[in-house]
Amino acid sequence: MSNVHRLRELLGIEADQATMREQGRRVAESEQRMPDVAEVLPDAIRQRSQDDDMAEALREPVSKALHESVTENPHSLVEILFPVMGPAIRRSIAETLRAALEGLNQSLADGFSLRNLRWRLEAWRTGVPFREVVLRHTLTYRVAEALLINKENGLLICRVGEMTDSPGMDRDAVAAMLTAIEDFVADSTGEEEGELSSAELGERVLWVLTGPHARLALVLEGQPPLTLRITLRDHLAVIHQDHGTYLYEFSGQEEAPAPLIAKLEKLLKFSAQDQQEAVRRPPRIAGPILLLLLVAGLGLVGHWLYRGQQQKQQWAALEAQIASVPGIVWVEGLIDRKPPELRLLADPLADSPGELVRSAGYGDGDLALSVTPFVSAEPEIELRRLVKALAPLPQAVTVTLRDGSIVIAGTADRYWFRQLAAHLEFARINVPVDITGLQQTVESPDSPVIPDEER
Amino acid sequence: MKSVKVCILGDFAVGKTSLVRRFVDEAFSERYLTTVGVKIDTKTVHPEGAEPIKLVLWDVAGADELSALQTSYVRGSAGFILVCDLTRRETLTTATKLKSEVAAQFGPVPWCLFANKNDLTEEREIDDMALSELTEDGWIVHTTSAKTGFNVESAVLALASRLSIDAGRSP
Ligand SMILES: Nc1nc2c(ncn2[C@@H]2O[C@H](COP(=O)(O)OP(=O)(O)O)[C@@H](O)[C@H]2O)c(=O)[nH]1
Ligand SMILES: [Mg+2]
Repeated sequence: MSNVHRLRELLGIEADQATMREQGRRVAESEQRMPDVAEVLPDAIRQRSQDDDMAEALREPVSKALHESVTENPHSLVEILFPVMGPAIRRSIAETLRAALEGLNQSLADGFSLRNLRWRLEAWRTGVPFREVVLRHTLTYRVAEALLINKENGLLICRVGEMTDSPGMDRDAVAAMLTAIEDFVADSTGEEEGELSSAELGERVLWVLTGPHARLALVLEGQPPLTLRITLRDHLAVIHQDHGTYLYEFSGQEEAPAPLIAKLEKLLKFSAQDQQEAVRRPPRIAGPILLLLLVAGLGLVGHWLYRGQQQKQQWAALEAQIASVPGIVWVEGLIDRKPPELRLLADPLADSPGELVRSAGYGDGDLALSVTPFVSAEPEIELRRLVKALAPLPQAVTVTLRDGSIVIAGTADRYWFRQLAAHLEFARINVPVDITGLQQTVESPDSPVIPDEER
Repeated sequence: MKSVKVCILGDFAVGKTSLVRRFVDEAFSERYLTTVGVKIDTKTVHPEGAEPIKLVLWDVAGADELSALQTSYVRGSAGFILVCDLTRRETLTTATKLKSEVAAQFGPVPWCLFANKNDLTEEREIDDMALSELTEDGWIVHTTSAKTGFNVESAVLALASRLSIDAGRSP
């Protein structure tokens, strides 16, 4: 025996060699068996899957493995479920957005409704783009119902507001159900407390906020802004601060204390209007007043425009009239002056310009009229001038205008004949005078002859 | 009206949901049972010589032990109903186990056992002897049948009476 062998013997190694060989053989064998077993395992399970035995054998390890996996990492469950739930959630969000956009489009397309006009006025008044004003108004909301629920036992502590949805739905059951759902969500996401859960209830939205001892569930109508959550959280904090012990110890008592009910009722008064009014300047009252002023202003402008039009017409009428009146000449008219100014030339024998202006509707002070006298050569005025010069006309004599000529006809005595001849000779008459129809009366011996000088 | 939370616990398929459906005012939210693992119903009962009381019933989906989630469902219960299936012996074992778990987690809470499916006399595995042994141990046991309605109403009323007395004592 070699020294080495002896040494081995002394150390007891030699004796174990057999065992080691045996173990090595087993390892090699099991390694060899593994692929064999792996090959038949699925078929073996499939073959016996109808047996209760197999199900029973697997139930424990499978459920244990699942349970352990979920306990160790709850997020894995969420991740597993996400591919299923994700698209559904995304679809729901897309649906909601689409609905909101539709509402907006509807509002914009609403055309000339009174509401639309009001919003346009508001946009104009506040300088906010119209689109935004519409959004602001469509983003209104209302708290329809509020439930305060004990966090531990899910019992309803207090309820205010109208019975939204089917009134038959038992609020105690709803409170319990919401509690169960919140527990379920917290359990499956591994989060201590859901920040805020929300769900759609047909037309309405349900928000659930969790406090240390109580949950607040709100049924909202419309489109609540995200900032509302902060407000609500503060409100829930105040409720806890003031009624913490009551909330904590609540075990189904009938009546909640009045101050607590009052605090909950305050929630019902939350609405979009409040929040908007708070940030909007000027305050609410300015709205109607401004509108009124605007209407009055519009009225004034309308009146002014109307008046302007009317004045122009009146002026034109006056001008036309003056043009048609003999012996008056329109020199200059300044309608833009206040009062309007009018300069005329007027023959003393023409109609009174003052009278004319008055008859055209201009009262005292409505018009600054200045009249410069002149001698008109118009036939009508020439006629008047002649008539005046020959006055008094004998009764049998007529003086008329015919085709631009002055026609003197009838019979007159010799004396008047002389007078006429003198006048026609010295006066400058710019119109032809026709005396072919004038005859001298036969002198009657009785008629006294009065010398010129005495007349 | 005063309201209390009552949990219904028991092994799979012992008849918890069927029992609740038997005596509640109206069936509510059955679909939540599969999703969330609990079904809520309410029942107003009028115990003799006491104010009416509203039971908010939590039908917790079957389990032979309480998971973290089920524990959260049981929390805050004023009382609970254990249910076992008379045709399956192991469901009584589960009920016993659940009772200990609840007691360990939440301390003493009024409870009772509904030994259900009383109508299936032929297949019965738990006999009257076993039940009376339980009664001797201080259990309150009601044999019931969700199918025929046997004893269901009175068993619930019995628990409600105890709860309303307890409720009267609490603040
Ligand atoms: N014969 C009979 N069948 C019952 C009774 N209660 C429940 N079942 C049946 O047992 C099965 C399980 O009932 P279910 O209420 O879902 O049990 P759960 O899992 O405990 O809620 C159903 O097929 C029921 O019809 C009963 O009292 N008698
Ligand atoms: Mg069930």
